[in-house]
Amino acid sequence: MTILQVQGLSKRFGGLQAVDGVSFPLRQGTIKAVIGPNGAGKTTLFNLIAGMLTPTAGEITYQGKAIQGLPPFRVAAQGIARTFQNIKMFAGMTALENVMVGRHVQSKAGFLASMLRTSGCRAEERAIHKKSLELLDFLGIADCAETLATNLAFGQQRAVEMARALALEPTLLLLDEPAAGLNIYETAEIARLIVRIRDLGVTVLLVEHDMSLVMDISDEIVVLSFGRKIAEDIPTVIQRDPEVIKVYLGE
Amino acid sequence: MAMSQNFGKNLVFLPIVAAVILIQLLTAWTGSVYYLTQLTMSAYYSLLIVGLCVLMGYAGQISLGHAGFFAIGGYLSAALTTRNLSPYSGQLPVRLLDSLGCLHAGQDLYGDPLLVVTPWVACIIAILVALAIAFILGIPVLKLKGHYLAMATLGFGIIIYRIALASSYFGEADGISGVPGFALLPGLLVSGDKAYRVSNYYIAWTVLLLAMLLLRHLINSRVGRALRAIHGSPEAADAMGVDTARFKLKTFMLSAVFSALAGVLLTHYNGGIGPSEASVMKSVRYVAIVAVGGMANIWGALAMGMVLNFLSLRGFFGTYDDAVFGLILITIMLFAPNGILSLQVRGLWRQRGLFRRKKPAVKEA
Repeated sequence: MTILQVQGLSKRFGGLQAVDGVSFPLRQGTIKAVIGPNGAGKTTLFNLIAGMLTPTAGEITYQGKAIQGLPPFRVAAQGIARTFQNIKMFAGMTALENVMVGRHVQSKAGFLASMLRTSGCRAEERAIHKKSLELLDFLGIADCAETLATNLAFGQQRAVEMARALALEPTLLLLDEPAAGLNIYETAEIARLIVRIRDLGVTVLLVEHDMSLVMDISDEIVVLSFGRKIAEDIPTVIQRDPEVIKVYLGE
Repeated sequence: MAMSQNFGKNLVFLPIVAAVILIQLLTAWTGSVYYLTQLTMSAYYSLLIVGLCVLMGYAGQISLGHAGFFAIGGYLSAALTTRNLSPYSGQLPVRLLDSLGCLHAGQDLYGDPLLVVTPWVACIIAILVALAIAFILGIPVLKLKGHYLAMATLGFGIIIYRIALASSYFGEADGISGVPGFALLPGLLVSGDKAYRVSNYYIAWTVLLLAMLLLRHLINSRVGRALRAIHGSPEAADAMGVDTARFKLKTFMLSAVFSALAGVLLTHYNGGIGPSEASVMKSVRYVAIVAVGGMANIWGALAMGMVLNFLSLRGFFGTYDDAVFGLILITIMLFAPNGILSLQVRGLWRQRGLFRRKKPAVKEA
């Protein structure tokens, strides 16, 4: 079943056509990677789906609903969570608190209920706390819970970011270069994690530079070059695609 | 600066309550009960300051216009409870208010009939107006960031100040005097009369500590986390589903209500209000105090609010009153941007390395 359909998606910045008529489906429960050389439009495509940019043309349909142009917080409320390439931890908050923020859309206590600390609010707070600890445990960083997130090692911050995104209980998880800045051991760890997340039933769309990661874990790959889609297939086919090889290695 | 996260534990209030009682007993024993007047006034100013602290320190929004909200509360309450409505007693709105029990009939100094709005109703009207203005002002203004937001709120503060100064309804340069006491409950009067000095000290502290309790709950809640998240990384907060504009606006309105309530109560306590309460220097002072307290620290804001306002009201800074707060702001920004409580004894110079070349901040990609 297709959970996300990108159709004729385009984004123009002044004279630059960053994304040019890209279409692809994303099947539920799969890992799909978007790859391409620098400047191919991967990040722009990613930001269009996450709601940080509004497309010039085209549609993004998520579970039957058009979501293009929705602001990020509304996209998140639809069940689409994301991580950032240059990790964005909430400064001044512990790893656990960072993940607890991820429970935002799954909870509802407002200003008045919070100030009065109603019994419903207290129960919700306990549930948020419990769920967030479980997620830190799932990602193997439970012992970092009370550490300030910005003081953690880079790989751990990436894990906190994933736990935070998973706290939304997303049906679709967008990962923006999850292996950026990680060494090979950490990359292998992240790869295992992404597969485990997929096995939980979460659909994953990732933008990535690291070829070994992409080839190892992706069910399907979309290749972009100068904003256009030049190939879309399973990893073994993509690896042998002459056009893809030309784009990556030159002629 | 890790946040203490002991959910549900409000034991932290015990020593404060004890200190409040101890101070009152001390003034009684040493025959210096007059100190309670300034302590009461400081408590009301601190009510505004802790509200502003949540806006600045947690939601990360600066406001140089909060004296304006204080003035809206104070002036409306003062005007409504002193301006005689008896010449209009035949008109429909006045008759309607009267039939709802919102008006109080009496006699003025010359024995003429006096018909004014009762303090409770005036208080509610003043707070609702402040809330509405914060809402209308907040929607466009909170789209601005940093110094643009500071400028816009400054503009608001100036407008309120000029209205207070220019309008005869609000007493122009003289302000409004003769504001009656505010009976919160039968026998519990907010009034500057000597006879009520001790009870008013406790009323002010009860209101302030209740406000602290509410704010403490708020900060350690889903809403507080969302606010701190907005402050920590607005983009990531947005991606987590936090409607940042809405949360900023609601915090702005909350802090405006705290300010207006402080204005209402202090005006009834003082028996009047003058335009200086609306002045921009007051707003700057409040911002300076929140900064000294450590921005994201309501206890620091409370402590500094009490100490600095008390010293100021006792005339400790003399004619340099406003200059002192300006100096405080400069000093804090230079040496202790995380507030005076964050300073280590190690020495000011090493704290910031002012006279050394700064190493470029190493940031991982």
